[in-house]
Amino acid sequence: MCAAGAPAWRQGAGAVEATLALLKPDLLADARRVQAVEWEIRERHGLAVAGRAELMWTRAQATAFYAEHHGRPFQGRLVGYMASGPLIALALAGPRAIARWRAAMGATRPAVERANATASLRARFGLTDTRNSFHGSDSPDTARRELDFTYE
Amino acid sequence: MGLLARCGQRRRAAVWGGRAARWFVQARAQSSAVLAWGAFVGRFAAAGAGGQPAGLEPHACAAPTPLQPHLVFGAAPEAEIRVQAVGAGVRHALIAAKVAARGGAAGPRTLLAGLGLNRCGQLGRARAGASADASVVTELDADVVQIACGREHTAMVVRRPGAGARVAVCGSSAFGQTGPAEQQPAAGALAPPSTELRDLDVLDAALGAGESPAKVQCGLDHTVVLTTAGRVFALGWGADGQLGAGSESDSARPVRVRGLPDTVPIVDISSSTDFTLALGADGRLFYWGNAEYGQCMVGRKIERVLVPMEVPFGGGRIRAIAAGGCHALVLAEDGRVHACGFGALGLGAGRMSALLPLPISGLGGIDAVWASTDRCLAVDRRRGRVYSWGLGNAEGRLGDGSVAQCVLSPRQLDIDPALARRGLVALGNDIALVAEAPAAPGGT
Repeated sequence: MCAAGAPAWRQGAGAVEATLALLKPDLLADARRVQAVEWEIRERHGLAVAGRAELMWTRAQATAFYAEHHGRPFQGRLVGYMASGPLIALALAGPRAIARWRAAMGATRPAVERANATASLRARFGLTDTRNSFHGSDSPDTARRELDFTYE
Repeated sequence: MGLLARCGQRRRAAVWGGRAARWFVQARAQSSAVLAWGAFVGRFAAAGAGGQPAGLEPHACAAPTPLQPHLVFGAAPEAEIRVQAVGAGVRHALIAAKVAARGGAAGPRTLLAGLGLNRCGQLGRARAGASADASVVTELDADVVQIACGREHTAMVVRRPGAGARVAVCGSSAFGQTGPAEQQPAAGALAPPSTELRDLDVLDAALGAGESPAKVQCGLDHTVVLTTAGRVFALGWGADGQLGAGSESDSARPVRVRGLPDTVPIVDISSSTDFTLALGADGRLFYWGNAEYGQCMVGRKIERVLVPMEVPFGGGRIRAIAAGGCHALVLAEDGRVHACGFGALGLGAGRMSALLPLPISGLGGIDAVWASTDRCLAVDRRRGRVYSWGLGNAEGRLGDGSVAQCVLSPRQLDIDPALARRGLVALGNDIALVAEAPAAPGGT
């Protein structure tokens, strides 16, 4: 799960914010959708991809990544799911990258997103609350921790 | 095939005109009619069939479109293709058929043709060619009784001449949903473990003498088997209690679903996403798995139901059941459909959630219902009508011509009544198929 080289966000990015985007196992079942999403991230949402890694987690790694959810009812399925197939980790960089990526993803629940006629990535590609295609860091602190975890 | 079917198809064919129409009338005389809508199916449709509404993904069809079976099966145009069974999952679908070369000396072969995604071999085996759009065709030594498809796996009930029915599986085994994994990914290769098409041998140990599989259902990442003895087994993902075994563990070996009545056989099962409905011979209804949208029909949301619970149903005797994602359907003996949960309820824009089953107004005389993750289908066999509703997507999966819009009340689809009366139906997440059933008594 090691990315090659030190990505740009680790080299003192100044005012530029960095965040971790994960493309989850359900999306990776369809290589063309992955390509389309990566194009959208760069071209439509204007986020720079400072690092990219394809990886597959063990259960232990997934448990460590989601340590903050320990004891929550969805933790078990989230961990099992995230260790079930390959992921793509993208280090995204840009002004307000955290908020912009979270807006592009949309809210957690794809069915609710669709019912609300939202055009977010999760409304378009997500399957269920767990198989919702995308992850995004929720704060600068989380982003730092998650980027370190992914690229250590 | 009835005369009416032929007339109906001719009438529709005339609208398209030209080459496609001539092909269709000719093909109708020898092969099963197959209609499809949603993702990928446009690759196998008659040239020029249908328009391309704005926003529709390439190769998707937003309305029921006749497929050219010989393209799906990679057969000569004059081959006779008789469909046995159809199945559809998440962006993949399968059709099993008897395929006979015209005038050929050899008897018909049983072929399984798959279209759509195939990362884990959910179409039967790895795709040989480079094109991600080509169908995958596998010759079988068995007749196919029924097909169910999950997210990246497939399960079928098959029957070999002179032998009892068995379950065959292929695709992802990441959670054990196709039994113990056959192929571990090569070191360094990032892929879920998977299985080429094979019999689910691990089921044998669980079955009693003379007991064989009667029906199989796939959730997104688990598999449920109903046996001729009315017993239910499950394997695969269990984090939400999908296996009904009282735990949150996964299992690559079929486990007996607990807590169902010992004295009353189960006669039907339904699963498409993360929960399962089971119907007892005495009309009792059982539920297990994820229930966090209140789709469990007991008046409240439950995080997960680890052991089947009985669900009281006040709408009369139950004729059929359909388990969706955030929603469940119950068809009562009087032909009315009751919906519960969230989203694709069909109860109108003012009713996006219900914690107890509510009848869908304006929809009656229904004989069969299907549900998938965010969508539903209902058929009135007597009048030959097919109704669709749910949350839309860019593959035009609702089949009413719309793209990425929600259809919150049942909408009748443009399908030949003769085909609707007796067609085989597969409702996947974003592909749907209606195929002319083999000529057999009691085809309703």
